[in-house]
Amino acid sequence: MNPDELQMRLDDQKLMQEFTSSGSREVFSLIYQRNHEDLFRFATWLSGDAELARDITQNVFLKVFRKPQLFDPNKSLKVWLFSIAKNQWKNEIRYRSIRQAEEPAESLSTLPVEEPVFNAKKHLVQQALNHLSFDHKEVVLLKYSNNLTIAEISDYLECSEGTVKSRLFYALKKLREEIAQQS
Amino acid sequence: MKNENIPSELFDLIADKSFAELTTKERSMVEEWLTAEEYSDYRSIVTTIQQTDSESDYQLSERSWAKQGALNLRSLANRPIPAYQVAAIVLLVFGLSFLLPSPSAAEKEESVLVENTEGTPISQDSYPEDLVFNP
Repeated sequence: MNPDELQMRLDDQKLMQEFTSSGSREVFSLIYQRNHEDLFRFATWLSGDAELARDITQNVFLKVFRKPQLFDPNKSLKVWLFSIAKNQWKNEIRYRSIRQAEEPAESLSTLPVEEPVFNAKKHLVQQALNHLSFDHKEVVLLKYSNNLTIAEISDYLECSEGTVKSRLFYALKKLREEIAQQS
Repeated sequence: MKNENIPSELFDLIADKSFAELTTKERSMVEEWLTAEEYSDYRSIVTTIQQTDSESDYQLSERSWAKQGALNLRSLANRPIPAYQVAAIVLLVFGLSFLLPSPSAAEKEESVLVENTEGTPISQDSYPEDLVFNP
């Protein structure tokens, strides 16, 4: 079976099962191709640092490559990947804060927030997003930047779908208010 | 009405359709929760987020797997080393310098003599014949 056929026939869950049992590089390559852009986008939004996001993305796939058996086939692959990315990011923050405490002279400030050159509207939205709490920003980006369903977000955040919808609704309202204030 | 009871479809509609594009049924559902103006504003925000790639020029190729080793080495190089480990390494090197036998003066002289007498092994086939010095 050629890779195109394989991709047509298998969804992410089945690809992961296939990779877990066979260890095939071709299958892994498909998993990678399908998910790396979304994961990188998520990691960039999460960390605000494109270079760190690259490392996180790479490390997530490295973990998938080394330990595919940790994947729960009853859950969404994307949710699993994002969860690993979030843990990686938390670890990085922890590591940086330890270094910061140990080396005050070096002034390792908090994560540098890159501000790509956006047009005015994008910049406004970006600014408004940065004014949201982490929980609200996260839910907006998972839904609209990464196209997760409400059910997938609820799985990822380990909370009810009602909570996700409530957060999302509140976040959109806050974004609108922020943008109105800024403009 | 509680926000928790909002139908999930509402959030999808915001991303997928403008207010004008909504069917009558969809519009009545939306209007239970939002005004037309709010809906349009939310849609504008959502489409902006969707259009915004965090970085447009990124390219993660599978070849970058090869860089993983280098990345790990870099993080290893940046890791602070505790003072006791440095002290232990210095002591180890210092101790080994006593334990390992050092070449005597006679051995040193002998090795120099061998170098001087043997010279270039021109008898070997690999050596180019036209470079044999033969006045």
